[in-house]
Amino acid sequence: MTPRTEELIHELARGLHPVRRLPGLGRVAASVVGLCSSLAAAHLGFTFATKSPWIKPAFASVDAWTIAAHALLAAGALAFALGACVPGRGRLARTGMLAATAALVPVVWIGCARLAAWPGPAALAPGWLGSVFACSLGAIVPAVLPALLLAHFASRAAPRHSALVLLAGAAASLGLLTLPGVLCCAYPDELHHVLGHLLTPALGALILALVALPLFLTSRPSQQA
Amino acid sequence: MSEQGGGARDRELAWGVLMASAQDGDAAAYEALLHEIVPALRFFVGARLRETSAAEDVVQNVLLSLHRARHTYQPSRPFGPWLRAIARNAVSDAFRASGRRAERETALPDADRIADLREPSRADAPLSARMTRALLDLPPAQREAVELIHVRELSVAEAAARAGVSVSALKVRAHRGYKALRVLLGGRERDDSAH
Repeated sequence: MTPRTEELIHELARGLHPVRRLPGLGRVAASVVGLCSSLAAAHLGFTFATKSPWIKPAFASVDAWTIAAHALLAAGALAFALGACVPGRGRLARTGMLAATAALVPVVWIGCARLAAWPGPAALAPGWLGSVFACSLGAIVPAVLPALLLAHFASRAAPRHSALVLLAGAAASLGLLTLPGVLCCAYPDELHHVLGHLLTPALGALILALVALPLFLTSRPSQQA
Repeated sequence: MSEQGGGARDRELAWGVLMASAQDGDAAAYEALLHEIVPALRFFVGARLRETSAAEDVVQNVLLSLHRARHTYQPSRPFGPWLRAIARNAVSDAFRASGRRAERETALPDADRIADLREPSRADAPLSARMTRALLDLPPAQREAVELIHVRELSVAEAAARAGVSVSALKVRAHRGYKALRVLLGGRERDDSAH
């Protein structure tokens, strides 16, 4: 052993203090999914209480493929975000990345199918753009909480690609929280479905990652490993 | 570190136990662990780096990264993959850094000859008798700060770690040391010219 390595080891061990271990990834995943489920249930409950006449036609037109694609995207993005935060969990991160990328296939397919069925601008109802924003914000606003939770976890961990981890965490939160919107949206328009629901996890993730960035940067005690 | 035998598994299990103790603040276990993993790290890094001279630096970077990320180790999980991931990241960083250096710098054709002609570094050169006397006249804390930074050519952070003080405290000591040296050397110059 060279003298400098020897000295470094001695310096590192000198004054060593106990550290608080990171929570297990399973626990973090359960917390995020639990939080998202509670928020989604609250969203559905609120919609049912205030707009119950909408629920029946909305359920009749539910797009199961959109739900499946978003659920796959959320699971993959969550696995990537958690796996990329901790050294030695590369396989989990790679599997997550693969699943999240695979989820883009049905998203593109559904998007193309919906747009092919779209009758054209003439069919747009007045205020359609507002309805798109309303549905997107209905998913983005509650997703801030789980995205911040994941950003806080990432700030304590040792992510190698911080920006990707933040984006994945935001996409995972949005993937889960777009589900109530898809379940109870009464707008029949195809373009509304594509812009307001199908693409929300991808587009909203950029916004949410920017929201979570300050928390990540300010509460980050250590550098990446 | 890449062995798959039972011996390697047992060794990594033992390392995991030492790491768990280190997370609880056991400095002796931590020092023992770092001593034990260094040969394995040297083998791992040496097998991946072409520049053998840089390997020891990378090993030291792995130790620093491990120290910063020690809270991310889960005692319920194997220690080997965790350590290998940190080492792999350090090796990738070294590759990236050498790539950046190669973009910025061009090797001189007569680099070896120039290296022979270069001025010896201050760390190698003997100090003049006048400077040695002046250094000996400094208070011990100031002398240590000046020696670490200007004679042994350590960075301020390294020097502070070596002296066991904060970076700002070391800077203050060094600054006072320079001022005192200036006075001492100026006084000696005047004494020398008077004789």
